[in-house]
Amino acid sequence: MDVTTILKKYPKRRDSVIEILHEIQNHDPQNYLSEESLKKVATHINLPLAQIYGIVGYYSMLSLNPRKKFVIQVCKSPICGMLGSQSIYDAVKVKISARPDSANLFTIEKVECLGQCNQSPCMMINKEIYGNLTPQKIESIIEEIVISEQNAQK
Amino acid sequence: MSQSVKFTIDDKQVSAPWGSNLLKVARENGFNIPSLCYHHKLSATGACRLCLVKIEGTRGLVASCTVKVDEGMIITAFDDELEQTRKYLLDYLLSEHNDSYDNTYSDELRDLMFRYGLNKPEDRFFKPIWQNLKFQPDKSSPVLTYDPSKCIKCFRCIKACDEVQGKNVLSFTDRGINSYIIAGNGVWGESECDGCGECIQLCPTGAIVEKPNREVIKLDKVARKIITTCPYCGVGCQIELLVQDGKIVRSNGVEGVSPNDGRLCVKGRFGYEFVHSTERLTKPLIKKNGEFIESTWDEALNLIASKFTSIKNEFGADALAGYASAKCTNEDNYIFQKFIRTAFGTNNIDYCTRLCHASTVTAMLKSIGDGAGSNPIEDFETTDCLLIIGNNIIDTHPITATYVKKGATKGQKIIVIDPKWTPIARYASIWLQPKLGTDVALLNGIVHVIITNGWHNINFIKERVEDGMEAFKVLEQLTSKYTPEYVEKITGVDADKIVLAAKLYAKAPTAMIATGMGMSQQVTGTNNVFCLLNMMLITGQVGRERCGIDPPRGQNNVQGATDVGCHPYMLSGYIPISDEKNRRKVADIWGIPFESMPSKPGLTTVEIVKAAHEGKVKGLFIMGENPMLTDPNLNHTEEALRKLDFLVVQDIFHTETTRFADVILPASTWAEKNGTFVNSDRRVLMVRKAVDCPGEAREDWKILHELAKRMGKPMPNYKDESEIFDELAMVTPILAGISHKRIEVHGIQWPCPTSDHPGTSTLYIDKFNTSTGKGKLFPVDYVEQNERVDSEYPFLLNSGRILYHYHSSTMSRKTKALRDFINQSYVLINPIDASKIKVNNGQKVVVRSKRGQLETFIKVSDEVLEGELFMPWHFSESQVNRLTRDELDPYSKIAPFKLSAVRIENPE
Amino acid sequence: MIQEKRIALRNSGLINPESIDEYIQCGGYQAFAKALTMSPSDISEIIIDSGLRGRGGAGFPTGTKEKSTAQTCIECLKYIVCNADEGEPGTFKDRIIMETDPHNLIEGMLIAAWSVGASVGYIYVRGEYHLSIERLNIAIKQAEKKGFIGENILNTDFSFTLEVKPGAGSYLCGEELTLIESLEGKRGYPRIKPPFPAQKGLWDHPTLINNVETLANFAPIILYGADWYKSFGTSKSPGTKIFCLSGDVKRPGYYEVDMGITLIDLINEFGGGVNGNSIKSILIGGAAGTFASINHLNLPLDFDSLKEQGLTLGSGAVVVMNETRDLLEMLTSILDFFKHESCGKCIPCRLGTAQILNITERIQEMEPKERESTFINIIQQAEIMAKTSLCPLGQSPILPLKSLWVNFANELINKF
Repeated sequence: MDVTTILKKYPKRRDSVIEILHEIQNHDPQNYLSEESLKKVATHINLPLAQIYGIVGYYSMLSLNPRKKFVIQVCKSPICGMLGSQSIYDAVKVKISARPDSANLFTIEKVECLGQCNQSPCMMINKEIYGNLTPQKIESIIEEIVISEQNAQK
Repeated sequence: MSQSVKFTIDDKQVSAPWGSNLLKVARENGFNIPSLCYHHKLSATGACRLCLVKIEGTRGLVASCTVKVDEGMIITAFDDELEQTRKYLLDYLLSEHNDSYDNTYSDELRDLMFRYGLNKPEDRFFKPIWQNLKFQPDKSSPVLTYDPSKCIKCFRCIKACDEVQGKNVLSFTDRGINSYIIAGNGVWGESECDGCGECIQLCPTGAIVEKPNREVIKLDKVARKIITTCPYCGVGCQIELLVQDGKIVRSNGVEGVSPNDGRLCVKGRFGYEFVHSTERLTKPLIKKNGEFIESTWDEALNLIASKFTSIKNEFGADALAGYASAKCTNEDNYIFQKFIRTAFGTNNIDYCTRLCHASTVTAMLKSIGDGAGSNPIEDFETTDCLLIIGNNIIDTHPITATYVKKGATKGQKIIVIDPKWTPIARYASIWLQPKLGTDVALLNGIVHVIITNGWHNINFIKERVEDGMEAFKVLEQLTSKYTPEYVEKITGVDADKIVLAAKLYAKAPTAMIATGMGMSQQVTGTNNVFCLLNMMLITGQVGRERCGIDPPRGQNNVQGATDVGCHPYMLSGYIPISDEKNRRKVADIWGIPFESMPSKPGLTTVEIVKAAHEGKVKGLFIMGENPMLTDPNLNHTEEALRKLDFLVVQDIFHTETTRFADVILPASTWAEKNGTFVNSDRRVLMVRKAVDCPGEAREDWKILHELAKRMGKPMPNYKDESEIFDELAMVTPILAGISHKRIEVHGIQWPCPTSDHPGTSTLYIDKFNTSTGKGKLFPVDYVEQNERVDSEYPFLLNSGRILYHYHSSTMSRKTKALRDFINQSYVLINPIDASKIKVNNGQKVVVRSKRGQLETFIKVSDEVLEGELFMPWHFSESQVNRLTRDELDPYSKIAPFKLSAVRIENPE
Repeated sequence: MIQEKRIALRNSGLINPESIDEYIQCGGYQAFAKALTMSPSDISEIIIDSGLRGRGGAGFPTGTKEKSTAQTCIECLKYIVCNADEGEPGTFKDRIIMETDPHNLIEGMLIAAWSVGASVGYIYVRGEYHLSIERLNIAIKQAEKKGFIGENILNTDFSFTLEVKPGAGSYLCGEELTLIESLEGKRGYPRIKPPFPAQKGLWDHPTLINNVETLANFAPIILYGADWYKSFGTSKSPGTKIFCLSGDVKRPGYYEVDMGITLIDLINEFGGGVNGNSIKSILIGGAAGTFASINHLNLPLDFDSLKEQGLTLGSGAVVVMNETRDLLEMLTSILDFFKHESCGKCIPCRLGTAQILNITERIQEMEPKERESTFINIIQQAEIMAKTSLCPLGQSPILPLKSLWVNFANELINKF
């Protein structure tokens, strides 16, 4: 869905802005909010551009930087941290660099608590939660995504 | 005001109105509680936490800026714990703060740093962390720089922009220790920021500092701070000029006084540079063999005196004429008209008001008796409904607009009527976009809706309108055919919108009209304003506070120049020339024989040009005006000026007009003289000398005074400008009670008939200023414009002003900051038209009308309707008035700058 | 063997969360129907009587808040907001309610809305809770279809609209006034208090704002009465509480039990005991919580008993750390979290969270003596932060810091 279509769904009110930004970001092939999109949002809700940028800058889920199709967010909260989230993060990095053909698929980030502490350590890939992670599990999770992407390409 | 409550601060009994801000009250009572985020113009933020106090019965420490005082409060403002805590917080703050200081701005944090003994890094507990934050300064704005390493995140700039200026273009981005201020996408120079600099004025630490003179100014070397009135538009903002080494180095808004309470726009804050331009005229120049040769004052003045005298002797006094100046002071203009009327002996005196609000003034004088705004500027915020018509108020009266924007946030209904999008539309409840030149139809339509719905005010009509219901019946009859559907066909405005606008205006508890050049600068200018006045009178939206009609004036003293008699039909104070009693009185005060007082009404500006063209006017004295840019149909004006026997131009720069002069006299800017201006809400405001005239340039009135003597009509030896004002007060009943002394700090709004009269904030409360005391309806019909598009000239061209430039831009384009914002002419064209005629953004084109042509650049924008174009007229290299007509409004003789049929040609 | 007492979670796992019919079959919306037959003030009286205290962490009496919102004005527009911005590390109970029984929350909101006279409701859910948002949206549509939400609900004068609003990644937006700012589409900055939301909340209208778990208790309380509810828990903290057990336990998860259960019972009976040889510490309440030691294992978990020991119940997060865990590392992680989540509005929190973290990160390299003085110093800093900060975030770091120091000074000074 393009930005203009998304904007049409929402009232021209400031309190829609977070939902709008989420939806634009989720529909963006690069998982981010471009300047062009943000200018349209500003016009739609009749706010100066800085107000929109200020919101994007504040909320950690919103990104001004282009990202890959799959955004891997590894929880680094005190609990996940204690239970080995750094080793999960490292495993993700190792796995991705071991598959150079998939380098264009993933962006890795560390995020604050995802509220999944009953299955720490955990991570989120786009909207999907993965819990009770081990480096071995990372291997198969990533592999699965890469293969399904490759199949989709065919 | 709320009732007073008593409470104690550190055992001292204090009283203040209930609900007052505790920090403010404490400071007023001598308790110097520190704070960095609080500012009396802004809502409380509670961010810096330095103003913490203890309040008995309240747990913990409380930020006093967030507390409203109440009866019986017991407050501790200073004790060891509080002072230790404040020092601790300052120590914290300094660790994220780059405390280098270059003495170019006042720094509240620095003051506190010394007060709490934290000025030396070794006395601080916390290690600096600001270097690790990797902030980048933003230097992209033409007028200011933002250095995040000096920013204490107090929110004052953000709130200044939002709450004070209503622009809201600043925000923080990121968060926590990494947060910093952004404009737009983070590049200030590309943002919506229009450079008013309110954020600079309110920044406590020099994070936001102005660019101009940054390298020059040193606060400890500033010799004088002069409070005066801004020389740009008619708002009359009070500014403080900082003078260092004989030059103006900074301009700040003056807090606590009307009309601006510290607010300024980009021109008021940065537009002073022209004063010290190297292009200033510094010596009299006499044209000899087609070239201007420097001369002595004696030579120039003698030449002028003899030339004008001989023209007068040979062709009569009416072969002479003068253009006064809306830029000069009342004192200058008063002396000028006195000079024209005594030394020249003619009433051929006019000035550029003829080109802006003459039609408004004409209609208002006829209908309600005064040609000035009826309300104080503050009412723009507090009225319930504001109708803004043909008035790009944000660009042309930026500070008046701040009141409007504030009103909008409080729920004020704003109706905008304009063929072109203007920024105020963003704040509007409803925007009507009529086709150019159809205002009479639209307004008659609104009146029709009001009447058919019974929204008119019968009591008001019966009591305050001349001929009451009879006159109303005539209006009802005339407007009966203007049904919304019929009007929609003429104007292109949806019928529904016409009904809604009528309802919003008529049914509002209070409503005001702000009318501008879009209404007045038309062949039907006077009729347009009559229609507005009809609407106002039948709804009774006048005669009360926050009701009435206000034409915000474009020039700093366009109001004053007419007030003091620069008018061909009227003497000072709007008294007609024909009033013999008054002529006698004035002659008496001037000490001249009654018979020598010219009694025949004179010519208006455009008529003077026509008469010159016809050879009837042979000598012309122009003071501070530039008709070769401002007059309609410039080709005709040029011919007229060439035909003159003798032309004197008194100005501060060479202009498009000076090249036709025989003698050029170097005059003074507003910063080089004392006197007064009258602003749009009739407020008489002081102008004070900040710097000396450059070279041999002289104050304007002194030149005229000298010349009068040489023409054998000497004036009294005025000790100073205040004596001139005292004389003008004697001949001007509406100003009779005012003197320089009375307006030392606060201006006074006329009429002010006696020295103990407080001035008049709202006009027409009891009666109108017409002979009967009643308002008069002037029903007028819509007539189609003579100027129409055809296959040869398919576009209608509108013209107007923009924020960054002013009038013929002799001042504004001499200021780098303003040039940096915009320095090139353009023509706005609707995207559909642009693709139709295949022109692109930035493309150079020729715009041609039947009268002339110019070159400019395309700017594609949906701000204009299809079939219509818009051009700013400030740029002398693309003189819009080469295209306009001199077909005049029959009543006011104003020219139709707003509507010319043109075509666009690709020069390649 | 202690049993769970499921009130807020009574349907969890038993019904299909995407089926309103199953919810109704389990007695759903009966409490709301009953509430509509009662006067609004009677409802808040029952809630007051039940002793229900806010489950978001502060433990403020719920009924009192309701009553004051109702009384701010009678005919004016009021809002009800559900705070589902569950961001406290170690906490996920609200997510479980929303994911497994969204109608329970909606019914609670309807009852609360009726009692305060609110006609518009919002559920502000943290943006990362995609499944919660999805299920709530489904549930709201179903409730609208069944006529529980809309105009003249169940043929009464009561009309109500309800909408889910996502957050976008900010812990601070769980603070009620900051949440309201965020709901209005602004950066999450805390507002000055007072006025409280009950007087001036969303768009300056009176607003009742309650946590998910709090609202999830409304329907049962209305159905079975205050006395029934008070039969659970302790006298000062009646009812049940959902504890989120995580860290070094064999069975991490969520357990709804009586308030006042002892820490050791929770860990052993429900968590299956420590994962590892022994317990070193228990972080109760999340990042804005406190470190308990093995001396506290027999403490009853309720608002007041913990407070007496300088501990806090908070949101009900219980994070167990075994003997191998580095408490300094845990503390650093918590302080890093606060720095990341500080909005930056007030000086003490913006600078305090940054400075304390800076110093704490260097403790590892220090000699014991220096460690001690450093800890004393950062505790002093945190105390000043707590005293001077604008909102609860800046008042929080003192909790883990001080409790850690009080209970584990020896380890912190001497362990290398």
